[in-house]
Amino acid sequence: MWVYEKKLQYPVNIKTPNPKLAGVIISQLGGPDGEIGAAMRYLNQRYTMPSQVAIGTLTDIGSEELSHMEMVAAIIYQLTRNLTPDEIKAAGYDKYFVDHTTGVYPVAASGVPFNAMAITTKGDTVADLHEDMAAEQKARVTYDNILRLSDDPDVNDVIRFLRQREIVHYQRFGEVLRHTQEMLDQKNYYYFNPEFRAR
Amino acid sequence: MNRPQMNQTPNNRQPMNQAPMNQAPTNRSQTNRPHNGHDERSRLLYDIQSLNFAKVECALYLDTHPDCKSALDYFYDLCDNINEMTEKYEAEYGPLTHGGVQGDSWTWIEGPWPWQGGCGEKEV
Repeated sequence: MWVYEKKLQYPVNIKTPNPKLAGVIISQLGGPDGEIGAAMRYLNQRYTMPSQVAIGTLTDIGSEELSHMEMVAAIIYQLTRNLTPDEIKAAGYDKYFVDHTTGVYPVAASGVPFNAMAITTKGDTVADLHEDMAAEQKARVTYDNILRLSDDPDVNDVIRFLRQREIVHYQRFGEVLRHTQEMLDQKNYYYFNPEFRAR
Repeated sequence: MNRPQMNQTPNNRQPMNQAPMNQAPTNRSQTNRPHNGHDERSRLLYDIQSLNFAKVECALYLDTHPDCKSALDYFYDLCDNINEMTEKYEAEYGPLTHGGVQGDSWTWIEGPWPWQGGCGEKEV
């Protein structure tokens, strides 16, 4: 279960609306490497994991991703407050606006809604941990790209925080992978799947 | 620091006719408070957020280093500090979780919510 805490993991206080930028950053909410996907990936993978280290790490990182989902949504919300229809049109935000107004809906920057096809639970510890490490790197790249596109210091401060978390999570998943491999057959990591021991 | 408040309209923008709809719902705790009350609240909440972040980071480290005694000591210290500061915050400014509701009304639903400016601020 989860308990809501009425605060953000890191403050989001954006002064200047910028719907064009919102339309890019929204990819980290509902895009292929976004925070919803991250939370869903880790929180669903954990059930069949073979070690306490893996289960604990996936639980805690998955929960942290929920707080990042909230931070990205807060950025979108604050970047799209108090807009006129003209501003929305000028920024190219009209294609989002026509379906969602200024509500927050999980889509990629391309407009494709959040899709679970962008995540996986393979049910194999080595495969899933590699998926998780790759996911952290892909999210890091997306944040790098957002920093290339944004010149709002209020936004960039938050994006840099989120980017750093990807790197820390990558590190932790790497440690879980090493820990898992120590449990496996040292001559052949793929000799059996510790999540599915067929008799 | 010369940071404008969240609810100010930047000079280069016209006030919008739908602006009131988009603002945080009115709430007693904010409107009745003197201006610097907001600053103190934001600062205290920022400190709580900082310590909570350290706690999350430390917990992740402990997940993969469960035998690290110094990290565990640090974790316990953080918990003590967070509990103390959260108690102080909730008595003054309202609940951070359901368990923090005090008094004879359900203050949980009072804004501002975190995305409405109700999160801490680094520089107030």
